[in-house]
Amino acid sequence: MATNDFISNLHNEVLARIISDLPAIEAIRTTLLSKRWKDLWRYASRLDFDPKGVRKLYGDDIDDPREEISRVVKNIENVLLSHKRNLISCRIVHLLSSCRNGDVEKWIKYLTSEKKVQELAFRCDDFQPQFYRRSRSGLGLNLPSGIFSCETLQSLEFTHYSIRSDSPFHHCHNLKTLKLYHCAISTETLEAIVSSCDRLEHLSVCSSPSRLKQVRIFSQTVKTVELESLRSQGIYLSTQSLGVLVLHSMKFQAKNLVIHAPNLRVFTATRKPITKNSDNITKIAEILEYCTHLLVHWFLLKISIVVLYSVIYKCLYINVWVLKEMNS
Amino acid sequence: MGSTSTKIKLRTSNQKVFKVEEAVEVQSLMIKYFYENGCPSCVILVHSVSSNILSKILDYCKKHVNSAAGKEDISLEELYEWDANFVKVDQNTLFDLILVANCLKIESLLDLTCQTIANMIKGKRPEEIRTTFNIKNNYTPEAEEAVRREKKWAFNMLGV
Repeated sequence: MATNDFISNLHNEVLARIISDLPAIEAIRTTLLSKRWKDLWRYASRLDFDPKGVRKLYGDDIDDPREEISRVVKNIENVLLSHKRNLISCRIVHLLSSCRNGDVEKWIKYLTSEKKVQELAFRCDDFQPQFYRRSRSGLGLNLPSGIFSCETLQSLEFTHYSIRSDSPFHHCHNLKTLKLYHCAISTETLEAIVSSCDRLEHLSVCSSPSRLKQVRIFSQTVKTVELESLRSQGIYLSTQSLGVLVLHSMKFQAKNLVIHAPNLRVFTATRKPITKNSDNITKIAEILEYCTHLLVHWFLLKISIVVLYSVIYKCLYINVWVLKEMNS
Repeated sequence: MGSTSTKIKLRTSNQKVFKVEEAVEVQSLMIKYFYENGCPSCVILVHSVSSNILSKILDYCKKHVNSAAGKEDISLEELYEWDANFVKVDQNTLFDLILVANCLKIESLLDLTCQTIANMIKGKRPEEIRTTFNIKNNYTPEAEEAVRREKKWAFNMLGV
């Protein structure tokens, strides 16, 4: 325990930096510490509105995550309005109702225009696959065209949405990172989004609940692509800039893996521990078999193939490091 | 910058003068700024900080510069572990580290130390945070109640 109040010797700017590392709810709770702390949270550079893991202060142990989320969501607008500086990042966890009543759209508009936010993450926490199958509208993000085209936005992450159109991504000239987790999306929409974001460098697509006919990525800028737990017939990548490709527990026909990426340096294929249900996941050996054409294509490159069998996790990893021979 | 012989010096409260080593030059935005603005020889006063802290800061900068330059064979995980051990110090030292990191604008060290403090705050009730850092509550009971009421939703996440 401290004998002196060292923390109060710090500049406001440093205290705001400490507060930025707290979940938004705990950041706001610091108002109560002393008068000095009353308004510091308003200068936090990051706000993470996820109630999960935040300790309840008083009362009983009723555990209703949905109730907690809706309580936080109701206050997001007020918090944003009384917050006083630009934001580096903002993460919002909400329920289905916020997609329907336009809250998500309102938050995105405010955060991009007023807060000059650089990194945005959204998670719809009561996404259920049966909802998705049943209703063709209402669950999706119906966002206006070009909503992500602001100058500051560099990173976007979506978890549990149905993304039906690429139009929100139109004119998205500054986005560098796009992560789609558990998002229902079609082959065409994904392809169109990637080509709309003409500065995109990192793309992750994980666990789409819908079956993608194909994963098609054509880009002049993308440097890393990470695909995980997707079901599709084939993967077609054509990109000059691609340096790193990661495939994890993918279900696809290995013969339909077509990669044109002359600058690929790292190719990693892994799969989950082998269980009863994972029979359909494409075997790593098969992927490798169909990758041999790449190795021939890289005739002048020094190639090292390392195959690691991890006995403990019953995983099978294959890493192919392709190191460009130095010219000297 | 790296090739010029170092002329910027740091002077601590116990009057010890430190030559700035290259490792700190690389990490400190403040010293970079001094060089770039044509002040290659001056003494920066680092207030109320002992020479122990400065040598600790030097350790930190060296470790990070060497590992980034590949001079030291250390994996990212090992570096995280090293960082985690680096901040296992008493509060006094930790706050001194923050003061110097902030003064010299060593961003990665500032991130590390601020994150450490944030972790000490996380999951605690306001009263517990006050005790941990010996923060004096200078609200009147009425004012405290008003603050609590204003942000009721954040204090009681469920129920009333």
